[in-house]
Amino acid sequence: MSSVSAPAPGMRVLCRDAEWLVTRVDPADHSHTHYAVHCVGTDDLVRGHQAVFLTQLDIIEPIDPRKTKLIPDTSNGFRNARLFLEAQLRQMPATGLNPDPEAMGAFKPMPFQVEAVRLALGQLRPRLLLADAVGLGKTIQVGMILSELMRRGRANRILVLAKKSMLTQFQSELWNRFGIPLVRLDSAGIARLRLRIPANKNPFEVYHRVIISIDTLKNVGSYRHFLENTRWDCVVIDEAHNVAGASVPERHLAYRLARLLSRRTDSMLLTTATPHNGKRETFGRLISLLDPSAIPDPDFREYTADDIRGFFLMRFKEDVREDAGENLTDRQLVPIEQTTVNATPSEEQIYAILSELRAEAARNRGEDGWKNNQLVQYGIYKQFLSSPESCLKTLRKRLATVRAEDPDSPELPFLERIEVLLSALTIRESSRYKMLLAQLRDIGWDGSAGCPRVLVFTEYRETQDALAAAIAADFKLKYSARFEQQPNQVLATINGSCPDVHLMKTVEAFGTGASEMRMMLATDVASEGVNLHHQCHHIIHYDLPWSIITLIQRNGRIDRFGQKQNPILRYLRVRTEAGLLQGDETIFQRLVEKVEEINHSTRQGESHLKLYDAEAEERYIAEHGILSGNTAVLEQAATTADPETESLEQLLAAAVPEVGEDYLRYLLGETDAAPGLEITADATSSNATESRLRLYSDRQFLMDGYRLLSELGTDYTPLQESGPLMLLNAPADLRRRLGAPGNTADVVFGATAIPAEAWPDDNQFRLTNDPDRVELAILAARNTSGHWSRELLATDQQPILQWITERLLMLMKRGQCPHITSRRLQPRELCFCFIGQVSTQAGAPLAVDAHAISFRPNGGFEQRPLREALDAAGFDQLVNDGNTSNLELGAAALLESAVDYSLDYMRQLGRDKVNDLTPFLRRENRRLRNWSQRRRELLQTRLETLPPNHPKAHACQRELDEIDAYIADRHDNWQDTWINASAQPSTQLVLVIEGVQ
Amino acid sequence: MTVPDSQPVGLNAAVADRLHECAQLAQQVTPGSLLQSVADHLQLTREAHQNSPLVNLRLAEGIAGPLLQTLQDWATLTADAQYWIAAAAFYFCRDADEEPDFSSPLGFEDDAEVLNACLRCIGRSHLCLNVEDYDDV
Repeated sequence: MSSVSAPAPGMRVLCRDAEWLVTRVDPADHSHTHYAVHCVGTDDLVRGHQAVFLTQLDIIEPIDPRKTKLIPDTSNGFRNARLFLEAQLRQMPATGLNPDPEAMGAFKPMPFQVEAVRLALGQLRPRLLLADAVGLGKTIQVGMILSELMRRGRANRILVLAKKSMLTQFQSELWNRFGIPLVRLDSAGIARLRLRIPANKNPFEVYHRVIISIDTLKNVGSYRHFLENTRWDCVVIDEAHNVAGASVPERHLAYRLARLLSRRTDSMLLTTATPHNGKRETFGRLISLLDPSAIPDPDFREYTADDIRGFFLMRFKEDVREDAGENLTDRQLVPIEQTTVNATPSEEQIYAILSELRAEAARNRGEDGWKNNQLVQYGIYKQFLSSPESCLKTLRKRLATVRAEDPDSPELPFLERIEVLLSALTIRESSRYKMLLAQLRDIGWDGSAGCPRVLVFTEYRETQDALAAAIAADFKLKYSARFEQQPNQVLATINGSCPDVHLMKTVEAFGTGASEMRMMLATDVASEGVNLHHQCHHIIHYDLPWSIITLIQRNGRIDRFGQKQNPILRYLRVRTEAGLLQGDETIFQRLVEKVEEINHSTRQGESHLKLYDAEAEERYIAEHGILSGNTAVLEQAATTADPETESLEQLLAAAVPEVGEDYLRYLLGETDAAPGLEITADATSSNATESRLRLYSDRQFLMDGYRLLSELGTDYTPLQESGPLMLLNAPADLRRRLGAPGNTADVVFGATAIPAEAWPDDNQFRLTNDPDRVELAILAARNTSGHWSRELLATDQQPILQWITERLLMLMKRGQCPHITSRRLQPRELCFCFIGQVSTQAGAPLAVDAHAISFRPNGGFEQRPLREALDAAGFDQLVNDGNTSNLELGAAALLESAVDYSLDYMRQLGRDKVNDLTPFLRRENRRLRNWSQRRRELLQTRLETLPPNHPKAHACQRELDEIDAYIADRHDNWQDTWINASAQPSTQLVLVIEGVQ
Repeated sequence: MTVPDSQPVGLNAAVADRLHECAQLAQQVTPGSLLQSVADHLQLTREAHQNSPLVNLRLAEGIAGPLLQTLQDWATLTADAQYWIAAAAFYFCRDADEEPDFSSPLGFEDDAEVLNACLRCIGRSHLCLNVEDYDDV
């Protein structure tokens, strides 16, 4: 039966043969003689698992480090003790606020990216909108932030939401570069999983790190119950504008999903290159998703720079060009004169009629019979600019409509004349297509295996079809329009109707060196966000969308961070002798130039015209430029009339930090050098380095650790070394733990599973400590098989190294600790080495420290950092003489006082840490209070203007009620979980060094 | 004593109500016992701070300073000033006010707001506090 006294939060206890940290204790009966003890597992079998034990049913015993049993180490050179200590050091969480990109993964961190991590870590509750421009490595920044959170024990449970076409890209990027394993779940996967787990178990709690497509999950109805009962440490939403952009967000499933998740997670990261559409509420809504307590206005329209400061980063290419170095190559525009071609005589004829038609339509604007001016004045024209096929289709549709509705329409004669001429034309004879062939010749493209990859964009499906057929014929290529054929062809097409699976495979093939694909013909819809730069640096704009936004998006597919070649851009243009194109030519030229200017400017992205919408831009350029002959149409913003956009952009500029600005000050809203908080500077930065104390390099640890394990385990085949590579054949227990495909064990190891797609066919993992090699392996993967790198970087967070760490820890039984000797210490001197921890009430690490306490035979006593004590003992060159004495009796009293010293020291560290955090906590609470007051006032004012039973009044009342619930939740699930220290520190004896002669 | 014409301004409704209630109650005690109560409450705060650094002892001391100073100069104060200083002191000595002193990290901010409003009302705004200066432990 149970012990009667209640365990206290922060205690380490033994229960069901495992070690736990008590996080909360609730009375389990009215007489308070029994308790429900909430625990989180701390030893190797149960680490991170949460459980509730009832004192009526379970025996819950506190663990006392004073009773640690010392086990003399008999291994050569004390190898076992060293590896045990190293494993202990490797599972120590980091606690500081400073990012440490060292040994984090295979990437070259740019200062501006490190700043993003610093900003996230500096928040008590990391919540960040990464709104950097297209192509600045937002995924890398997400990986860095996740890595740092994982080191701090704050990202055990991760959920990533992404667009379907981006899932593999995101998943492989995090695995290849950071060793962060995201398991992919789709509806079928969730259904399968539910068959393997008990019916009442939440499928979202099985795997700890999950990536799901927004479409799968936004079906909130079917998963709502589970999602509402799941808490995450970190939720990432990629391309987050997709969840906040809708006009009626409350009815928008994706938005409601994001809102739900935002309230069920500690940290949250949103990424997007288009954080707003010029409307305050779209940006406000994104910020409110991050933190519901940022903006008091229930409509997200009214907010100040202070409300949103610290929640987002928005940088442009020019801001970071210095940082980026070779990762941001300068692009080249082939002079537009060289890509301009004269119209053929038959084309001139059509342009002439189009010109008449436009003039007629303009003259009779608004008259009966001249309806749908847009299409008549420039729609057909724009189609003809693209291809005869595309134009003919639209024209015939128009003819049919007009004939049916108004047989006397004055349009008809024009349309009929054009139709006759147009029917005789094909794309293969068009001037534009001939220019394309000339440009392909320049590039050296002929569809053969060795020629450079080319990306060709067109606006229209009909042009795409005609173009594909023409190119296939001219270069004698086999081409089928079937979606499933696209990944396997020399010439591939993608467009909006292409199903996701085939789209992903086609994109993957285009980025794979060994693939046969040499040209991709793309429409704009299909390509948003997709990376096409890995094996391609030529882009040809077959036709010209009248939109800066579309052009920037197009160029961003190959002109992005990590493109090693200079991207080369070509815009094809047709010139006419007499037709209406003459004046337009200048506008088209300015459009192209403008896109280049924007590419080289700071603080100005796609928003140049302030229209925020590709279609609106097209309409604007057509009506205010083309039709009115205004060649200066692109020189200023379209909507000076919209002060909202103007003020929003000013607001954002005021709230975003300058590159290189002191982010911590910025976070505190301090702009001058006033005596602010030099917080953390001392206390935590030293702490951070201490928690990264290592006795082995990653490589040596992997080799020595595995060797020790393989000497003990029967089925561990030896590790093979091959140059800088270490080849590890996964033994059965590692296969189980990482969730090898085909593994049908009853238990799903959700906490440690890696992506099934990353599993090597031969069960052999290839690890290296050279990031450049991994970089090459990622390239090689793209050249041959696709996304998944064959070689992995050996880092702390690599799941295989974590497995070795945990296996080594298990070699020492609970309550035992290795005992070694050193001749460098005074004879009979005893040095007790501890790792101590102060946890929050929920068990998250608040302060962690490795230190040593020495007792000398003359009564001397010293406490110092572990590193110093190890150096003093000559730890790196110890020889095992086999002369450990039996310390059982003499050491017991010393151990007891050493533990007391260690606990006192940790108590003080914990207190210092809380003192450091308190000013931040006060600010956060003040912010929360001000928010709730302002919001309450706003809602009450609104409520007073509404009739009592109005549906809007109910909504208002509901929002009012939610405020208190939200604040209470913040207190329980945030402050208590992450900030408030538990009453008791804990410490563990990890090594005893005895001085000998 | 009747309520003075000049009233502290800028407080939210709930806090203002509570202040008026405190003002009435404060009329029934002597300045000497108010002085003692302020000192006692400060002592309680010290003890609470020992258990939780989130209890803002520095701010409590900051508030007690001007209170003790003006209470000691009681005889030199105008009647209005006496009325509002007594009210602010009484408010300070209550734990369960708008922000409970010992359980919210902002526990003393309403006390500081009340004190500031009272000080401004009696023309001693030079003694006002800026709460954000007291965030460090």
